[in-house]
Amino acid sequence: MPKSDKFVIEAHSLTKKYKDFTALSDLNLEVEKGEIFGFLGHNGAGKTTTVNILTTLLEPTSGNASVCGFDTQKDSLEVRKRIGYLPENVKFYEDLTAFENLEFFAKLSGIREPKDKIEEVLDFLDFKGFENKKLGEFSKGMRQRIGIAQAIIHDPEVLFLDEPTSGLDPMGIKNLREVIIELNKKKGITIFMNTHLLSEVAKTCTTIGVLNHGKLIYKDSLPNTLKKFKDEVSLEEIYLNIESK
Amino acid sequence: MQKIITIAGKEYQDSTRNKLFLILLAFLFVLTVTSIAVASSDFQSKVVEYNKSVQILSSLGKSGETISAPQFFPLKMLRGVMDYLEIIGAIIGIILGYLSIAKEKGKNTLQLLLSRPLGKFDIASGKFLGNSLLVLSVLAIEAFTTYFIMWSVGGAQLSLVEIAKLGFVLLASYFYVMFFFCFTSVLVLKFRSLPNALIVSFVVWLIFVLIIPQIGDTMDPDNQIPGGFFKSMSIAKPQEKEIMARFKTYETVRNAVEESSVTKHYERLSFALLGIKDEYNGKSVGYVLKDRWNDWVWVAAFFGIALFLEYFAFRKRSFLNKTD
Repeated sequence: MPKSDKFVIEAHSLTKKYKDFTALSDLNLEVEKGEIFGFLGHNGAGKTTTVNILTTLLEPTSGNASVCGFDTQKDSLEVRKRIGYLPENVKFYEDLTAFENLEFFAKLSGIREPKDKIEEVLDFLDFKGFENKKLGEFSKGMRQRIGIAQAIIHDPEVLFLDEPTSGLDPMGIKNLREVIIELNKKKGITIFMNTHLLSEVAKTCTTIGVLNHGKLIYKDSLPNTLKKFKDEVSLEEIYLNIESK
Repeated sequence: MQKIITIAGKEYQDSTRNKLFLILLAFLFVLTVTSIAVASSDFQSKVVEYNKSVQILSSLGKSGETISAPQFFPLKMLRGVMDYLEIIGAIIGIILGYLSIAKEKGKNTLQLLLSRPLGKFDIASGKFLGNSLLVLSVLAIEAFTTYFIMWSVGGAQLSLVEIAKLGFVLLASYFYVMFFFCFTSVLVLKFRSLPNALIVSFVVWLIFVLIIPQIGDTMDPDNQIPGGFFKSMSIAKPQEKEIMARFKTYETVRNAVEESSVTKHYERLSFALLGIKDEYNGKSVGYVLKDRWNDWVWVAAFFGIALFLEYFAFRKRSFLNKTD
């Protein structure tokens, strides 16, 4: 059963251990509906583990989380119906065309006749004319668009993006940023984004959270953050300031 | 069910587009056709030779019945095919199992599949179903090709009982190939390194398919002389059994070594059904199945355990247990 309307993502005392290594430690997190949440942290901070738990791929060692009001462990199927996910460095099926890739994921999302839906999504992403090309022929930026397309084909309420700009050139980053903002504004999708690029956070996100060694050490809206750290000249300095504390 | 069929369809399509799989398949078919054509030709020449002998006797005014008609068991012609299925069939299972999971792990698409609204076992079921259909198609084409060559080259007609026996061999072959499929899938799911998983699969293949049966054969006293030790010494079956009874512990150990290999069980079962083991020639399907129930149970158990482990590996999702 759904728990709350205000927060689409809630995590309570979330802990994940891999034998002796603690990837996440007592994480408490709330993300409001309609936000673009930037999840920052160095490599190994636990960002991907958090996303894997929120997308129901992993079970936490202790604690619980809910997405769209559904428990990620008890109602994992309901959660998966409402989320879209683009993992880091996903290459898709290169010997299939863009249309075939999208058709496959659409059918797995329960869309029986996905042709119209695929056309609608490709139209939204300004990607028409490429649907019959094999993914092996695509640039990294084009593949990321297909990645976004498969993630939104079933109209999810929340979209999880794990380092979406990784490996993209400046133009690819700009295009993807525009897509993310449009998805949020036009389709009302809440976006949870793991990222390293602070410049992207500044231009895209409405709220930021900083994870350090599996613990959430900071969370606030971007305007408040900029106000709090008004002496710092850039978001990078703010981030380093937060991490050092 | 629709989602399972979607995954199964993609599995089937992916494998039939894979060059390595197609090369292996072509290799298996070339060997099968060659083996069965040679055996059929030999079979045909024996039939012709017998008919000629009858004709000669008739021309001499003697009845053809003075020489007893040889008993032809056309299924025995499948001896070579079974050897190839034991070796290459297992490799096909390994390659299909590897490709099925490695393509998802290597491209990070496994996370995409797992984040879809699928049931706990839908991915495992889809992959299993797609590859099962593929293996069954391969075996059915193999059986049809074999039957066609036996009929066209050897002039052999199979009775209903023989067709039923062939059907049971196909079923055992399906279990055997799918055991290697499931086993390799589990290793690829569990191992972080894809090449390591493949290497371990081939080590297991080597142990099951070549090493254990070879140890068993080497330990068999009857195999010490070509043609059989007891036969060459003109020792009759009852005496042979009497002698072997004195080596009961040795025989138990030898048998235990052989029984640890799924390949040996598959071989014993199929050789009995096809009459390659002379003692089963002309016996009913029921008799053979009853006499070799032990091998049926083992082949099915190897397959069943590997299948269970594959489903369990998907359920546990421990393959995602890595730090970022």
